[in-house]
Amino acid sequence: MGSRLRWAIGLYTVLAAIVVAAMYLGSLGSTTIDRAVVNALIALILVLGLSSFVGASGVFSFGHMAFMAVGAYVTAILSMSPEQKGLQLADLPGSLATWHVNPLLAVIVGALVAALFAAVVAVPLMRLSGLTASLATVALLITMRVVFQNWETFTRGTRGLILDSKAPSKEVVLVAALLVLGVAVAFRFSSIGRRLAASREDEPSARSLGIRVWWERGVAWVLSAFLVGVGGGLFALYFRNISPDSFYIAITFTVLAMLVIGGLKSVSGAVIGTLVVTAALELLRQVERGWTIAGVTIPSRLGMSELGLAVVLLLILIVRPDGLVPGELRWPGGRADRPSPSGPTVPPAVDVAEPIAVPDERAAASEVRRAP
Amino acid sequence: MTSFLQNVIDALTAGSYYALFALGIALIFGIMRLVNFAQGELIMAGAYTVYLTQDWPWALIVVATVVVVVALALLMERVAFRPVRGRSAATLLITSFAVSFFLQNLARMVFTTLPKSADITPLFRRSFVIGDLTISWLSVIAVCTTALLMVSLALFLNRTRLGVQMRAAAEDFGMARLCGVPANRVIAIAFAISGVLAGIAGLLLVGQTGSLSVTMGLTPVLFGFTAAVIGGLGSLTGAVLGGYLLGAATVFLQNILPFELGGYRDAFLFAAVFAFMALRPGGLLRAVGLEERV
Repeated sequence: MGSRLRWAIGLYTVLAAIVVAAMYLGSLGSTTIDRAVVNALIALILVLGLSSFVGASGVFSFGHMAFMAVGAYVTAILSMSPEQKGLQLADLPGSLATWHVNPLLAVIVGALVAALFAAVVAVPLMRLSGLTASLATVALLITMRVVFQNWETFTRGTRGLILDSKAPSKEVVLVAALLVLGVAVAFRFSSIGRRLAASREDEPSARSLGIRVWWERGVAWVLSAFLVGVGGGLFALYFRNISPDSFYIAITFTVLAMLVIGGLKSVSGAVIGTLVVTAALELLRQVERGWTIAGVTIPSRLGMSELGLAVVLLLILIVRPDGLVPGELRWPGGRADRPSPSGPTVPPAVDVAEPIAVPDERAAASEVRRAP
Repeated sequence: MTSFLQNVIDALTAGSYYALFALGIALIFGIMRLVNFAQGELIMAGAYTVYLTQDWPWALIVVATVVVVVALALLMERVAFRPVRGRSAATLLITSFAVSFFLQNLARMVFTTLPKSADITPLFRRSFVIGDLTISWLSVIAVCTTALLMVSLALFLNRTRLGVQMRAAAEDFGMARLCGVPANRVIAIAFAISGVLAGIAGLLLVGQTGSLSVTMGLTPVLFGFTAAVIGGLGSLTGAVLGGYLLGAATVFLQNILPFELGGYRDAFLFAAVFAFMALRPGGLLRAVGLEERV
């Protein structure tokens, strides 16, 4: 067993244990907390999915919640009972109107559809360089929202869909989150994941070593769309009420904030970021409802939790740009920073836990470049 | 013929708005490599200033709006963007996203999410008729104001010392600094100008719709930055060109789409933009010095 594999398994065990422990602690409260716990698990799936592309490649995507929406709508359409479809989606074509698929199967089909859609989008998108690609994903998010708002036959427009299928238990969502975590860790430690990390740190060098950056990014894009699609499907099943606005700017911001606050470059960062931000948001939501200290009533103010999240994100960006967890967690004294056995095609520096300040320094250096 | 002229007028009006939105974004991007999502919240802040001062004489409304938005733009630069200056484009993008979200939710706490309405002057609601054409005074004002702002900006950039310094900074920031261009001042001026543009845009938007909400900045910023991308990010001429092109495309789609597909207009628009970006990533006019060098 290579040291990389050992490290990956160790890392997975630690992260899974953290997630399970956090969920257990979170569940000690009442049933209203149950909802918060599932919310956190779904957020974790979304963040891990997004991190498989954004974290691994360093290219920001604002469009992933479109894949979440695809997953959610497909799951909803497949898992609703025929009677409800008659009421809400009377114009569904053919056998879609009568199908009544097992909810979990529906989630997987939904994620596959999301991945397929992502593969189609990837063909033009992966031609673009980092920043332009990020901007194009914004166009993707808006386009898809308008489509969901208008495609009455499948989405019931802005009124959204109400599901009548049985909501999955908390444990099912937890198992799904742990599976997604496994995929995310495996991907980061795979050769593709490591080649992507190399291109994230220094794209020209990576290309000069023969890494087909567009291909590696495309693979990550499709995989992350699948994972985000799973998150969308579970979201639909659990919260039972979806509309185009469920998958727009607010959730895009929350998920990106979790990712950046935790640390973009590692799966550990995605996990820690999700847990920390979720806990902070729950706390802020308590404050938001209004409360009384020493006779002074602080009135309820909507928007405070989002405001707090934005402030934390700004602080992290300014003070600790690599996030709370810059590199992967590791056992104290671990030896995983040995050069990788796959030889010189992958710069071994990528997985070193110490933050590598390459991009910043390079940006600074290129500022002092010669005039043409 | 009449309907063609009417369409031209509509396209010109929409294009003026988009060009106004795009200019602010292109200006900041040219100098800092920052795609400023928070430009939309500057527009929103301008609109709310109009709302709060709507009983004042109109000249004072304009002054107050511009002053408030410029102050906000400068504050934004000082507090959020200066600390991250020089970081990767992705970091800057996320920072502006966070600033935008912050301002939007701050407004939500102060003004709540209930939409407000403002009525500045009855002139904004009137229109006049030439032959078969109906032209609203507001589109005349919008087209003229945008043209005026563009001419002033061009004069500023070409005829004043600071303007030349700004163009130098946009072309090669590091080199410009080595030649003695004061970085902080140039960037602050760029933000101030983007504040002026956003303030005017907010004023015109309130005049056009008569209503405001805390999320009203989103659509302008999306159209603005789409226009800037089409034109070639960082190029000011490109931003203006992209703005008018987008205006023309909007009106064109409105006309050719059958009624039942009308709701999809923006989907077609942004899908076209997506395709355009894939085919011509540099935009119509490629800004000098924007290509990544190794």
